[in-house]
Amino acid sequence: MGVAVHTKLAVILIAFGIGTSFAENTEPTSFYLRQEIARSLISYEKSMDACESETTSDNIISLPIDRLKKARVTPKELQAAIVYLREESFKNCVESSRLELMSAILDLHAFTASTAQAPIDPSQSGLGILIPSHAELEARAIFNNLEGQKAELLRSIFHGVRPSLAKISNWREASKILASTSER
Amino acid sequence: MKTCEIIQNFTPDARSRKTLQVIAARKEAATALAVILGNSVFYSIFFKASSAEAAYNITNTDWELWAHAMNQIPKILKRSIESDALAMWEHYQFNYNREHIIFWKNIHGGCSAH
Repeated sequence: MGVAVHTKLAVILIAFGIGTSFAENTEPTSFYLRQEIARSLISYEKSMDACESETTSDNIISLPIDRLKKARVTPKELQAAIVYLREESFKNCVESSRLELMSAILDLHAFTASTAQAPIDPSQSGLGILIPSHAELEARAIFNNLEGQKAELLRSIFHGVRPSLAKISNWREASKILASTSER
Repeated sequence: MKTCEIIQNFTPDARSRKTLQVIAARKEAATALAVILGNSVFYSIFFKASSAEAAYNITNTDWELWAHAMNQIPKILKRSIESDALAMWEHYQFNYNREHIIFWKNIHGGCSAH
Protein backbone atom coordinates (compact mmCIF):
# COMPACT_ATOMS: atom_id res chain seq x y z
CA MET A 1 0.00 0.00 0.00
CA GLY A 2 2.93 2.31 0.81
CA VAL A 3 4.19 2.57 -2.76
CA ALA A 4 0.72 2.88 -4.24
CA VAL A 5 -0.21 5.63 -1.79
CA HIS A 6 3.01 7.51 -2.46
CA THR A 7 2.58 7.28 -6.21
CA LYS A 8 -1.03 8.39 -6.08
CA LEU A 9 -0.21 11.27 -3.79
CA ALA A 10 2.75 12.31 -5.89
CA VAL A 11 0.52 12.54 -8.96
CA ILE A 12 -1.98 14.61 -7.06
CA LEU A 13 0.65 16.87 -5.59
CA ILE A 14 2.11 17.52 -9.02
CA ALA A 15 -1.33 18.28 -10.43
CA PHE A 16 -2.06 20.52 -7.50
CA GLY A 17 1.30 22.26 -7.70
CA ILE A 18 0.18 24.12 -10.79
CA GLY A 19 -1.33 27.49 -9.91
CA THR A 20 -2.22 27.10 -6.25
CA SER A 21 -1.55 29.58 -3.54
CA PHE A 22 1.51 28.50 -1.62
CA ALA A 23 0.46 30.43 1.46
CA GLU A 24 -2.87 28.64 1.55
CA ASN A 25 -1.11 25.28 1.51
CA THR A 26 0.98 26.06 4.53
CA GLU A 27 -1.56 27.77 6.76
CA PRO A 28 -2.29 25.67 9.87
CA THR A 29 -6.01 26.50 9.93
CA SER A 30 -6.36 25.47 6.32
CA PHE A 31 -4.54 22.26 7.13
CA TYR A 32 -6.84 21.59 10.05
CA LEU A 33 -9.94 22.23 7.93
CA ARG A 34 -8.69 19.81 5.29
CA GLN A 35 -8.17 17.21 8.00
CA GLU A 36 -11.79 17.76 8.96
CA ILE A 37 -12.81 17.06 5.38
CA ALA A 38 -10.75 13.87 5.43
CA ARG A 39 -12.37 12.74 8.68
CA SER A 40 -15.86 13.53 7.49
CA LEU A 41 -15.29 11.66 4.20
CA ILE A 42 -14.32 8.59 6.17
CA SER A 43 -17.28 9.00 8.49
CA TYR A 44 -19.67 9.49 5.56
CA GLU A 45 -18.47 6.37 3.82
CA LYS A 46 -18.71 4.37 7.05
CA SER A 47 -22.29 5.44 7.61
CA MET A 48 -23.17 4.68 3.97
CA ASP A 49 -21.76 1.19 4.47
CA ALA A 50 -23.70 0.72 7.68
CA CYS A 51 -26.90 2.04 6.12
CA GLU A 52 -26.62 -0.25 3.14
CA SER A 53 -26.25 -3.30 5.29
CA GLU A 54 -29.03 -2.13 7.59
CA THR A 55 -31.72 -4.74 7.80
CA THR A 56 -34.69 -3.76 5.71
CA SER A 57 -37.14 -6.28 4.46
CA ASP A 58 -36.07 -8.19 1.38
CA ASN A 59 -39.56 -9.49 0.82
CA ILE A 60 -41.10 -9.02 -2.56
CA ILE A 61 -44.00 -6.60 -2.34
CA SER A 62 -47.25 -7.06 -4.13
CA LEU A 63 -48.91 -3.71 -4.71
CA PRO A 64 -52.55 -3.41 -3.58
CA ILE A 65 -53.73 -2.28 -6.99
CA ASP A 66 -57.36 -1.82 -5.95
CA ARG A 67 -56.41 0.54 -3.16
CA LEU A 68 -54.07 2.48 -5.42
CA LYS A 69 -56.78 2.68 -8.06
CA LYS A 70 -59.33 3.86 -5.53
CA ALA A 71 -56.93 6.56 -4.34
CA ARG A 72 -56.36 7.52 -8.02
CA VAL A 73 -52.61 7.16 -7.74
CA THR A 74 -51.04 7.71 -11.14
CA PRO A 75 -48.07 5.69 -12.49
CA LYS A 76 -45.94 8.82 -12.23
CA GLU A 77 -46.86 9.21 -8.57
CA LEU A 78 -46.13 5.55 -7.93
CA GLN A 79 -42.75 5.84 -9.59
CA ALA A 80 -41.99 9.02 -7.64
CA ALA A 81 -42.92 7.29 -4.40
CA ILE A 82 -40.52 4.43 -5.12
CA VAL A 83 -37.60 6.77 -5.81
CA TYR A 84 -38.42 9.22 -3.03
CA LEU A 85 -39.03 6.68 -0.26
CA ARG A 86 -35.88 4.78 -1.21
CA GLU A 87 -33.79 7.95 -1.10
CA GLU A 88 -35.48 9.22 2.05
CA SER A 89 -34.77 6.00 3.87
CA PHE A 90 -31.12 6.13 2.93
CA LYS A 91 -30.73 9.86 3.57
CA ASN A 92 -32.26 9.61 7.03
CA CYS A 93 -29.67 6.99 7.79
CA VAL A 94 -26.62 8.94 6.56
CA GLU A 95 -27.89 12.45 7.23
CA SER A 96 -25.66 13.49 10.11
CA SER A 97 -22.44 12.37 8.44
CA ARG A 98 -23.57 13.91 5.16
CA LEU A 99 -24.15 17.25 6.89
CA GLU A 100 -20.78 16.93 8.57
CA LEU A 101 -19.07 16.57 5.20
CA MET A 102 -21.03 19.46 3.74
CA SER A 103 -20.12 21.58 6.73
CA ALA A 104 -16.44 20.71 6.51
CA ILE A 105 -16.31 21.68 2.83
CA LEU A 106 -18.15 24.94 3.49
CA ASP A 107 -15.80 25.74 6.37
CA LEU A 108 -12.75 25.35 4.15
CA HIS A 109 -14.36 27.49 1.48
CA ALA A 110 -15.20 30.17 4.06
CA PHE A 111 -11.60 30.25 5.20
CA THR A 112 -9.86 30.15 1.82
CA ALA A 113 -12.26 32.25 -0.29
CA SER A 114 -10.79 35.51 -1.53
CA THR A 115 -13.77 37.49 -0.23
CA ALA A 116 -16.67 36.80 2.08
CA GLN A 117 -19.01 37.08 -0.91
CA ALA A 118 -17.11 34.66 -3.11
CA PRO A 119 -19.54 32.06 -4.39
CA ILE A 120 -18.75 28.42 -3.80
CA ASP A 121 -18.15 26.37 -6.90
CA PRO A 122 -19.65 22.90 -6.33
CA SER A 123 -17.13 21.26 -8.66
CA GLN A 124 -13.99 22.98 -7.42
CA SER A 125 -14.85 22.83 -3.75
CA GLY A 126 -15.84 19.17 -3.78
CA LEU A 127 -19.36 20.00 -2.61
CA GLY A 128 -20.72 18.75 -5.92
CA ILE A 129 -20.11 15.18 -4.86
CA LEU A 130 -23.24 15.54 -2.73
CA ILE A 131 -25.56 17.11 -5.28
CA PRO A 132 -28.78 15.19 -5.80
CA SER A 133 -29.91 14.01 -9.20
CA HIS A 134 -32.83 15.59 -11.04
CA ALA A 135 -34.73 12.32 -10.74
CA GLU A 136 -34.45 12.46 -6.97
CA LEU A 137 -35.51 16.11 -6.79
CA GLU A 138 -38.44 15.53 -9.10
CA ALA A 139 -39.56 12.54 -7.07
CA ARG A 140 -39.30 14.59 -3.89
CA ALA A 141 -41.42 17.40 -5.35
CA ILE A 142 -44.09 15.04 -6.67
CA PHE A 143 -44.33 12.99 -3.49
CA ASN A 144 -44.42 15.97 -1.16
CA ASN A 145 -47.21 17.53 -3.19
CA LEU A 146 -49.43 14.48 -2.95
CA GLU A 147 -52.69 14.72 -1.05
CA GLY A 148 -52.32 13.42 2.49
CA GLN A 149 -54.18 10.15 1.94
CA LYS A 150 -52.25 9.21 -1.18
CA ALA A 151 -48.92 9.86 0.50
CA GLU A 152 -49.98 7.89 3.56
CA LEU A 153 -51.13 4.98 1.44
CA LEU A 154 -47.86 4.86 -0.46
CA ARG A 155 -45.82 5.12 2.73
CA SER A 156 -47.78 2.29 4.29
CA ILE A 157 -47.23 0.07 1.24
CA PHE A 158 -43.48 0.61 1.37
CA HIS A 159 -43.10 0.72 5.12
CA GLY A 160 -39.92 -0.99 6.32
CA VAL A 161 -38.46 -1.49 2.85
CA ARG A 162 -36.16 0.43 0.60
CA PRO A 163 -38.37 0.16 -2.47
CA SER A 164 -37.18 -0.66 -5.95
CA LEU A 165 -38.85 -2.23 -8.98
CA ALA A 166 -36.90 -5.41 -8.37
CA LYS A 167 -38.75 -5.82 -5.07
CA ILE A 168 -42.23 -5.27 -6.51
CA SER A 169 -43.83 -8.23 -8.19
CA ASN A 170 -46.73 -6.55 -9.96
CA TRP A 171 -45.54 -3.05 -10.79
CA ARG A 172 -46.19 -3.50 -14.53
CA GLU A 173 -49.74 -4.56 -13.99
CA ALA A 174 -50.25 -1.76 -11.49
CA SER A 175 -48.80 0.81 -13.89
CA LYS A 176 -51.10 -0.30 -16.76
CA ILE A 177 -54.21 -0.27 -14.59
CA LEU A 178 -53.38 3.04 -12.94
CA ALA A 179 -52.61 4.59 -16.33
CA SER A 180 -55.99 3.56 -17.71
CA THR A 181 -57.71 4.86 -14.56
CA SER A 182 -56.02 8.24 -14.74
CA GLU A 183 -56.92 8.64 -18.42
CA ARG A 184 -60.64 8.64 -17.66
CA MET B 1 -19.48 -9.39 -14.94
CA LYS B 2 -22.11 -9.40 -17.66
CA THR B 3 -21.17 -8.44 -21.18
CA CYS B 4 -22.41 -5.04 -22.25
CA GLU B 5 -25.40 -5.17 -24.51
CA ILE B 6 -24.75 -3.21 -27.66
CA ILE B 7 -27.04 -0.29 -28.41
CA GLN B 8 -26.80 0.99 -31.96
CA ASN B 9 -26.97 4.73 -32.64
CA PHE B 10 -28.01 5.51 -29.10
CA THR B 11 -28.82 9.16 -28.41
CA PRO B 12 -29.63 9.90 -24.79
CA ASP B 13 -32.73 12.01 -24.40
CA ALA B 14 -32.85 15.30 -22.50
CA ARG B 15 -33.52 13.63 -19.15
CA SER B 16 -30.62 11.23 -19.54
CA ARG B 17 -28.34 14.02 -20.71
CA LYS B 18 -29.14 16.03 -17.61
CA THR B 19 -28.37 13.09 -15.39
CA LEU B 20 -25.10 12.46 -17.21
CA GLN B 21 -24.19 16.12 -16.65
CA VAL B 22 -24.84 15.77 -12.93
CA ILE B 23 -22.68 12.64 -12.84
CA ALA B 24 -19.91 14.49 -14.67
CA ALA B 25 -20.14 17.37 -12.18
CA ARG B 26 -19.88 14.92 -9.29
CA LYS B 27 -16.79 13.36 -10.86
CA GLU B 28 -15.19 16.80 -11.10
CA ALA B 29 -16.03 17.43 -7.48
CA ALA B 30 -14.51 14.09 -6.51
CA THR B 31 -11.29 15.06 -8.26
CA ALA B 32 -11.29 18.39 -6.45
CA LEU B 33 -11.66 16.63 -3.11
CA ALA B 34 -8.72 14.38 -3.94
CA VAL B 35 -6.65 17.49 -4.69
CA ILE B 36 -7.74 19.15 -1.45
CA LEU B 37 -6.59 16.11 0.49
CA GLY B 38 -3.39 15.83 -1.50
CA ASN B 39 -2.64 19.42 -0.61
CA SER B 40 -2.80 18.54 3.06
CA VAL B 41 -0.28 15.78 2.60
CA PHE B 42 2.01 18.39 1.04
CA TYR B 43 1.74 20.35 4.25
CA SER B 44 2.39 17.26 6.35
CA ILE B 45 5.51 16.41 4.44
CA PHE B 46 7.11 19.81 4.26
CA PHE B 47 5.80 21.83 7.14
CA LYS B 48 4.99 19.56 9.99
CA ALA B 49 8.37 17.90 9.76
CA SER B 50 11.43 19.57 11.13
CA SER B 51 14.23 20.15 8.65
CA ALA B 52 16.43 17.58 10.37
CA GLU B 53 13.90 14.79 10.26
CA ALA B 54 11.92 15.56 7.12
CA ALA B 55 10.97 11.96 6.42
CA TYR B 56 10.27 10.82 9.95
CA ASN B 57 7.97 13.38 11.46
CA ILE B 58 5.15 12.45 9.15
CA THR B 59 3.13 10.41 11.54
CA ASN B 60 1.46 7.20 10.66
CA THR B 61 -1.77 8.86 11.63
CA ASP B 62 -1.30 11.49 8.93
CA TRP B 63 -0.73 8.93 6.20
CA GLU B 64 -3.52 6.70 7.36
CA LEU B 65 -6.00 9.55 7.55
CA TRP B 66 -5.24 10.92 4.12
CA ALA B 67 -4.93 7.52 2.44
CA HIS B 68 -8.11 6.28 4.04
CA ALA B 69 -10.01 9.43 3.07
CA MET B 70 -8.69 9.23 -0.50
CA ASN B 71 -9.99 5.69 -0.78
CA GLN B 72 -13.48 6.74 0.22
CA ILE B 73 -13.93 9.28 -2.57
CA PRO B 74 -14.32 6.77 -5.42
CA LYS B 75 -16.67 4.66 -3.29
CA ILE B 76 -18.90 7.64 -2.52
CA LEU B 77 -18.92 8.62 -6.18
CA LYS B 78 -19.67 5.07 -7.33
CA ARG B 79 -22.64 4.78 -4.97
CA SER B 80 -24.12 8.05 -6.17
CA ILE B 81 -23.79 6.98 -9.81
CA GLU B 82 -25.44 3.63 -9.06
CA SER B 83 -28.28 5.39 -7.30
CA ASP B 84 -28.83 7.74 -10.26
CA ALA B 85 -28.64 4.89 -12.74
CA LEU B 86 -31.23 2.91 -10.78
CA ALA B 87 -33.67 5.84 -10.72
CA MET B 88 -33.19 6.37 -14.44
CA TRP B 89 -33.59 2.67 -15.24
CA GLU B 90 -36.86 2.68 -13.28
CA HIS B 91 -38.05 5.82 -15.07
CA TYR B 92 -37.54 4.17 -18.45
CA GLN B 93 -39.26 1.03 -17.27
CA PHE B 94 -42.33 3.06 -16.39
CA ASN B 95 -42.01 5.11 -19.57
CA TYR B 96 -40.87 2.24 -21.69
CA ASN B 97 -37.77 2.95 -23.76
CA ARG B 98 -35.71 -0.13 -24.47
CA GLU B 99 -32.46 1.57 -25.40
CA HIS B 100 -32.43 3.82 -22.38
CA ILE B 101 -33.29 0.86 -20.17
CA ILE B 102 -30.24 -1.04 -21.46
CA PHE B 103 -28.03 2.02 -21.17
CA TRP B 104 -28.88 2.74 -17.54
CA LYS B 105 -28.94 -0.93 -16.60
CA ASN B 106 -25.38 -1.25 -17.85
CA ILE B 107 -24.32 1.76 -15.83
CA HIS B 108 -26.08 0.55 -12.69
CA GLY B 109 -24.91 -3.03 -12.76
CA GLY B 110 -21.68 -2.52 -14.59
CA CYS B 111 -20.75 -4.63 -17.55
CA SER B 112 -17.73 -5.80 -19.45
CA ALA B 113 -17.12 -4.72 -23.02
CA HIS B 114 -15.63 -8.12 -23.84
